[in-house]
Amino acid sequence: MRGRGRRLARAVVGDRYGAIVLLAAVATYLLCWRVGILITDTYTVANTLVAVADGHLFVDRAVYGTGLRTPGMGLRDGQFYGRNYGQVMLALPVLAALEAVAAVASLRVALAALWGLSIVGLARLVGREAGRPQLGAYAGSGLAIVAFAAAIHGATPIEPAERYLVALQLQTMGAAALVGVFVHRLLTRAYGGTVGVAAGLATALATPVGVWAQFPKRHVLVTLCAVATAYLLYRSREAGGVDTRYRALAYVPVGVAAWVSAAEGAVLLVALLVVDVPTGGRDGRSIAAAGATAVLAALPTVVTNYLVTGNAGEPPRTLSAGGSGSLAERGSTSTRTDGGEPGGASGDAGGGSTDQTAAGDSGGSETLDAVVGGVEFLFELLWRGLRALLREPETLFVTFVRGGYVAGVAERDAGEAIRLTVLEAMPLAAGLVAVPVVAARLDLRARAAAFRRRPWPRPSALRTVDAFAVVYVLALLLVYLPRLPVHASLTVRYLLACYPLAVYGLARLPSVRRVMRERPRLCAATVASALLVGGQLLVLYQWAIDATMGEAVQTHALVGLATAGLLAAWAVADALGWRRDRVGAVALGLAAAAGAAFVLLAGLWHFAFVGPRALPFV
Amino acid sequence: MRADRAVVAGTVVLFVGTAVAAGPLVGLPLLEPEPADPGTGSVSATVADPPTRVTLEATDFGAGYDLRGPPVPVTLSEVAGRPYLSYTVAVPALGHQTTSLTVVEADGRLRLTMNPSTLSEGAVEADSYEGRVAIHAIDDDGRRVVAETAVTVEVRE
Repeated sequence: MRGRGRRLARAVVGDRYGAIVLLAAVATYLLCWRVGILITDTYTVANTLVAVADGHLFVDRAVYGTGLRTPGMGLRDGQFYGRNYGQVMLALPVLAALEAVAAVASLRVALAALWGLSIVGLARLVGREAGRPQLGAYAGSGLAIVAFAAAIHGATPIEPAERYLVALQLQTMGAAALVGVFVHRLLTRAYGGTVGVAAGLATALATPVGVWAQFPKRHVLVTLCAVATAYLLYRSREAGGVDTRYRALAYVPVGVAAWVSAAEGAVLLVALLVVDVPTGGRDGRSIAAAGATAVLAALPTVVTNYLVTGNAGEPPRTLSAGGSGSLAERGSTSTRTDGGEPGGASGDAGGGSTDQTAAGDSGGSETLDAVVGGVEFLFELLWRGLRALLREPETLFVTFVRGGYVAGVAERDAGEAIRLTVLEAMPLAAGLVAVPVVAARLDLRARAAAFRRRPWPRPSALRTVDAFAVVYVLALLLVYLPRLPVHASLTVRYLLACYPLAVYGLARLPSVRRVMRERPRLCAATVASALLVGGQLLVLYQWAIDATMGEAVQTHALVGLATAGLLAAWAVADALGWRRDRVGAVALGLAAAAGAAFVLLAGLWHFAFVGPRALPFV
Repeated sequence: MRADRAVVAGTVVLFVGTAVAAGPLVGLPLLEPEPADPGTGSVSATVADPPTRVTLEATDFGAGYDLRGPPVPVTLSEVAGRPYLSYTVAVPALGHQTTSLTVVEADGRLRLTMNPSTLSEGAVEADSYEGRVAIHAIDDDGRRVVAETAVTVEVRE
C-alpha cells in the first residue's frame, strides 16, 4: 500500500525536488486563496458542477449567482447547459474528497490543516536538502502549529453550498502547482536539478500561473495540458530515438485540453502534430499507437459534445456563442451611463461562431460537417490573427510591453486599469530578448552546411520541444491576437500557457543556466530580500497613496517593467560577450521577485473583492 | 523513533485531531458560529456633520480621475445583527454614481469611508461639478436615508 502510494507520488512529482516545488506552490496558493468568483462565467462552470454532481449534464439549479442566465450558459431544447465539462468532470473526485472530509471533520479546519501539512512537508524536505533535517522538522512544525491556530481562530464554518466552488478552486490550484512541477521535471532532465528547481519555482510563483491558480477558469488546466505535452514529447525523444510509449502519451493531455475547451485542444493538437509527425519517424506501430491514443483521448470530448449539443463535433460552447464574462460583482458597485454590458460582443475562446448548420436533422454527416466546420474555423482564426498582426502591430505593444490605461478595455473593467501586459506580469520574460542575439552569434555557416546535408538528422529532444513551444505559442497568439487587449483579463490570461514556456525559453539560454549554476545563492538571496524589503515598500507606498485597484496594479506594472529592463539589458550584454554573472543573478532575482510580488499581493490584497480568505488569518 | 520524527508525527496528529474534533461527529465549537447575513438586523445611525465636498483627483498613470469622498463620522446606537451603512456619491452631470457598503457590528462612533471609483479621462471637462452624497442604513426595515446633502465635486489635476 505504502509502496504504491510512493510510486504514484513519484510518477507525479518525479523526485524530492519536484515535491518541494509542489508543496511550495500549494502552500502559497492556499495562503492567497479567496473563496469567491472573479469573473462572471465562473458562475456558469460552478453551477455546471452542481448539476453534474446531481447526476445530469443540464443545469437546473443556480447555487451560485442570481440565476441561470450567466455568461457562457447555453440553451438547448429548453434546458440550460454549461461549458468546460472536462474541467467539471475532473473536479468530481475533488468534490467527493471534500464531501468525505466534511462528513467527519470541519472543512475549514481541514483546509487549515492541509495548509499546515504543506508547510511541515516543505520544511522537512528543505531541511533534509540543506543538511539540517532536525531544524527543518522543528521549525516547520512550530511555524505550522502557530499558523494553524491563527487560521482557525475566529474562523467560521464553510457553508455546504460553497463546496462546489471550493472543489473547483482546489482543482485549479493543484493544476497550477503541477505546471511548476512539469517545468521542473522537463528542465531537470535536460539541465540538472538547480536549473530545474529554479525554473519550477519561478513558473509556479513568479508568473501569472500563480495569479490564476485560485481562479477556476480553463486557463490553468489548459496550461497544464500544454506543459505536460511538452514534457512527454521530450521524454519520447530523449534517448535519441522515438519512444513509442511517451510519444503516444503526449496525445493524452491534448484530449484533456479539448474536453475542457475544444478550441484550446485544437490549437494544442495542431502544434503537436506539426512537430511530432515530421520528426517522429515512419515506424507504423509507433504511428498507430499515437493515433489510437489520440482517438481514445478525444473520446470524452466527443461523448460530452454529443450529449450536450446533440452533435459529436460541436462543443458545448457553440450553444452559448459568446459571453466572455466580465469582472464579477465587487463590494462597491459603480454604475455609469455608458456602462459595459457583461459578456456581449466578444465571444470567449473560439468555437463561438462555428457555423451551426441546422442542428438536429440527420446523424453522421452532421458530425462530420461540424468537425470540418471547426477545422475551417480554426484556420480562419489563425488567418484573422495574421491579418490583425499585419494591420495593427501596435496591438502587440499594448499586449506584450506596456498597457496602462486603455480606455476601451478599462471601461469594462469597472473603469480601472487593472490589466498587466505579458512583460509587466512576468518581467522574467524580458530575458528572451537575448534569443535573437544568441541565435545570430551561433556559427551560421556550419548551420547552413548541416542544413544542406541530407537526410537531415533527427532533431534532439530539446530542439523538438523548442519547435513545439514556438509553434504552440505562435498559434495561440494568432488565435487570440484579434481580441487582445481585452477586459477582465488581468494578466493576458488567454496567453497563460505562454508563461511556463517562456520560463523554458529562459532556461534554454546558456547565460541564464550559467548564472543559475554559478550564483544560485546570490540569486535566491536577491529574490528573498527584494520580496521582504521591496515588497513591503510597495505595500507601504500603495497604502500611503490610498491606491485604487487600478493604481495598485499599475504600480506593479511599472516595477515589473523596470526589472524587466534591467534583465533585458544584462541578457543582451551577456549574449554579446559581457560576462557579469553577479549582475545576471541580481537581475534575474529582481525580475522574479517583481513577478512574485504581484502573485502574492493580488491574492492577499488587490483582489479582496473576490471574497473572504479561505484561511482567514487575523 | 527520533525526536524530530515524533514532533512531525505529533503535529500531523494535532492537525487531523483538531479537524475531526471541530467536525460533525464530535462537534467541538472551535469555530465562530456563522455570522448573520450582512444587511440584516437593525441600526439607528446619525450623521452630525455631512461632507460638503468630494474630489475628482487625476490618478497616477493617466488612468483617469478617482472620485473620492472624505470619511464621514457616524454615531451608531442599537446595533443588532449585521446591518449595512452605504456611502453613495453621485455626479449626475457625468452620469456616474458609486456606492460603498460597510457592515457595522457594534454601537459607537465610526468613520464611514468609501472606495474610490475611477472615471475615464475624457469624461471630465469642467473644474467642478455639482454632486450628491447620501448615507443610507440597510437593515431588516429596508433601506432608509440617514443623511443626504448636495456637495461640490472639485476636480484636481
